Amino acid sequence: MKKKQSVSPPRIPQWILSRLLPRDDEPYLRGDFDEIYSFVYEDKGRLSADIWYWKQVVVSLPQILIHPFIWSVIMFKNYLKMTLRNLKKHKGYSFLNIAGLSVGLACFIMVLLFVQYEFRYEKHHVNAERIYRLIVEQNLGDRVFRSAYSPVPLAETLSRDLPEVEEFTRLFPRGRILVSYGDRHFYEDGMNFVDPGVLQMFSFPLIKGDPDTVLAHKHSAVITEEIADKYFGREDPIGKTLSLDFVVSTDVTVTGVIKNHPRTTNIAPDILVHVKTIEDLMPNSEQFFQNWISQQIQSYIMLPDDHSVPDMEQKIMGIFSQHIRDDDRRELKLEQLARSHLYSMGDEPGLIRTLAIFLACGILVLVVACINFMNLSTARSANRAKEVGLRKVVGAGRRQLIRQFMGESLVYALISLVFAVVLALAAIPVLNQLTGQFVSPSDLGSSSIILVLLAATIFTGLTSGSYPALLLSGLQPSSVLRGRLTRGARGTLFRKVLVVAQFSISIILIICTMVIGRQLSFIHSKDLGFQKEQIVVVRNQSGEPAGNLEPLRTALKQNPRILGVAGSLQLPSSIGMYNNVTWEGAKEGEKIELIHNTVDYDFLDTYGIKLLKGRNFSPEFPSDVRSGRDLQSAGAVILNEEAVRRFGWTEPLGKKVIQTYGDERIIFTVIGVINDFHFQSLRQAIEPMNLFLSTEDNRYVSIRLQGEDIPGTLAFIEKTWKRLYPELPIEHFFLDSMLERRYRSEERQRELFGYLSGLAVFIACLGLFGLAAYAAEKRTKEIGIRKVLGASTSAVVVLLSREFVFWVLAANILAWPIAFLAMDRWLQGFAYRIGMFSQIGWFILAAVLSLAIALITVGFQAIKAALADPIRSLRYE
Amino acid sequence: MNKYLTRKEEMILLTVFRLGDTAGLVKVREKLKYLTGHKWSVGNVYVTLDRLTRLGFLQSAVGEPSARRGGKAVKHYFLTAQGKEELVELKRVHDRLWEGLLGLAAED
Repeated sequence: MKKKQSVSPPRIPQWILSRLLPRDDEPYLRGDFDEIYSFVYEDKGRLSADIWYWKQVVVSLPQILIHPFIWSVIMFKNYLKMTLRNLKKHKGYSFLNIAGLSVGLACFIMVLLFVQYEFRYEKHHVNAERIYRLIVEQNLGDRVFRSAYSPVPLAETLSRDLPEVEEFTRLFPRGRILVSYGDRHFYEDGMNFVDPGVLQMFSFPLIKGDPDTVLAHKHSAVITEEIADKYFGREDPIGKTLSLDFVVSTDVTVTGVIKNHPRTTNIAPDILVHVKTIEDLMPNSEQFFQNWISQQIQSYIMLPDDHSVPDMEQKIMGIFSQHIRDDDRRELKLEQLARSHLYSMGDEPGLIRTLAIFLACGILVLVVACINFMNLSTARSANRAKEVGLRKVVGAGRRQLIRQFMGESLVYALISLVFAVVLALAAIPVLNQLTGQFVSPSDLGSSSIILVLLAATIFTGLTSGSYPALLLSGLQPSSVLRGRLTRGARGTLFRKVLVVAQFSISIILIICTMVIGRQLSFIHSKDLGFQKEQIVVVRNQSGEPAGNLEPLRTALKQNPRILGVAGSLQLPSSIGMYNNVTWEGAKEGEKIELIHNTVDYDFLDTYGIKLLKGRNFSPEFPSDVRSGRDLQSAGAVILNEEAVRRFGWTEPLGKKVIQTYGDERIIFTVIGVINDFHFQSLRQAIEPMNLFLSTEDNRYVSIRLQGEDIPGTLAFIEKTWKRLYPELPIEHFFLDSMLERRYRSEERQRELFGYLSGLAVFIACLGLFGLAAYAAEKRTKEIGIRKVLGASTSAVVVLLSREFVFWVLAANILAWPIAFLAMDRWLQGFAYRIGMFSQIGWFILAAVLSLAIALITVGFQAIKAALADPIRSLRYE
Repeated sequence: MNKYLTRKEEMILLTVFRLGDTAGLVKVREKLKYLTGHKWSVGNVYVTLDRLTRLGFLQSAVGEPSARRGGKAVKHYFLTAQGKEELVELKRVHDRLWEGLLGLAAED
């Protein structure tokens, strides 16, 4: 017997074991552990003994824990039977429970489907992890510009100079072009000039054509099945010739057909033409292929498996800097294809934040449903108390009871899951409409969704069962069976907190829906500073009217219902080209970015844009026209107020604006100032803008209608177009419908919040309904006695509803500041927005609404209880 | 139909039998290590002992606490009549099943 007193195992694992070992055998087992520990201690010293003890926690504990669980399968059969019996016996409660959980879970499923859909983007490309897009980053001091478009020679140079670049391709989308085969003419948006590497990098499965030679030559093209179908129908497309109409038209030969692109991609070229074809299309194509300044194409490179992005970026910058001027501050970054959709660095911001918000909303609704379930089960505990008492008397331990109730709520959760899946399948079309996705019911079958869903269901079952399980298993059998069930004040308080939380969430969602709605209608009704109604726009990428609008204008003006016809490079609603500009009186090197558009004489009148100072462009002043011939006076310019303000001019007319391209300085004279109209989304403040005159850049023809007989006028426009340009398909849309589309994401947000608040209210009501029913049932005798003593029906209804009204009011008070702050933040995203304080009315409306809903829910139960015959409730005593 | 014991259960039941009526978990584990040459985790032994007890092959009795055990009592396991029967039955079945194998090995 040596030093036996000092031998004691480490405390932490001892504590773990003491908490987790099965209660019956805990002392013996720990004795065993201690004994072995002391032997190991004597043999090998303290460290080994401690390690051994810790190891046992890892190795032995799980087995010991799982063991009784397997053993209890037999007991489980009994629990299952009890659960199903309970379910049948209390149909009402079961319905409320399952309905609430089903809706919560269904909602969660929808969110999962939505998130999964976005996560699928670009994942079908086998090399998605190795393909990188080159992003040009330009730090302009006050903000960082990132562009997905990079200089033309970049990718090719990199692949030549860097051995790591396994493959490269450029994608040069040409916007809308006219494509013809025989007598079939269509406008196509998905035409891209590409390098042959494209098929090696991206997973565009080739179904026809020889993979080694498809894009080997100039004028060879690969098309998707859809395009093949559209132009060639049943004919074999290989070897056929498509005619592409740019400014010059050219023929390409179809050498291969690829599968249609899945919807979950942002890279979906449907006519791929060898990039060298450009040589025959542009008179100065050499300059195009050697231009390191302008950014016109997307560059993709493929790196080996074991690449390091920062290293590559450094190497790429090393090469890039050899080709650009020293004062060029552009930097190149790599964007992984697999991440490009969710974490996009390019022109459009990444989606990941939106997804996080959606996921949070889904979980929130699920939590509300869980709370509801807990609430109902707790309320029902009185009914179950006797069962618990009896089970305890015949020997059930607390653990067994906890397991029973957990198991019960698990069964409920699983049944709800079945309903939830059915609900979700039915709601998929709504989801698609809401999100613009193309989720199909089969997406629900993906293994990751099934796993998450099962985990969520089990978690839901366990958490929502935990509170009633702990509560009920702690009951004293003696007091329960004697019929003296003392409900602790804690339980009631807890239930109140739950109901308040549920209603707070519902109220927050209701307020959000309303405020978003207000902001949207504010946007729609805001005067943008130009005419947006009754304007028809004809898109017109190529063809004769782009260069000379006169014949069309003259023909259209014949119709008295057509008030104006104007041509412009861009629409007033979507101007997005920037110029680097300096101005008369600017400090040395001072430059700002100006939004830029090219318009014709009729533009301002057609759009009703107000001229504040000076004059409009006029044919009487031939020098107005922008021309590249004389850089010292290259034409006239009209500015908006913001530009004048930024230049700091008091008298702008006659002043000079200087465009800079590298060393070149092109000087324009200001002839007029127009009002600040909103050419961008109202999220942004108005930026400085300049307009130039050109009658040969009419990519968009805007036609202002009088407002009467619009279908007739449209038909007239189409007829006139057909007569003048029989070979050009016409494509027109209303300007305001395009403007609406700009706020589609907000529109969807509102719809989403609308649906969510509906759901949350529904679930909260279910909970409240159950509680009210419970309260009424508990107080049956009290109500009976009150009625016998002369209480009126209304007095009883008030008695039963009073408490709930108080809770809902408390929920409102809790919800208001949260909703206020959340919406205030959301509104910060708009430069032009409604004031949050003017929206207080909606808060009150939400309060009234929630109160009304609560009263209807509770009132139903209250009235039923109040109308009941008191004799019945008192008789059996 | 009577379910047969697993091999692990069989080994532990036999070990308890060999130890007579002084079979605490620690002893069982040591004996097993001695007989099989492998280490057995405490959990593994406990779970099997417990299962055999629940099946009615073993019975347990609480023994004396000792200082080495941190003042905790030991739980002794010993065979029930049913356990003994089971072992006899097992042995018989095994003998029948294994019959002739050693002779076969000798021929090679």
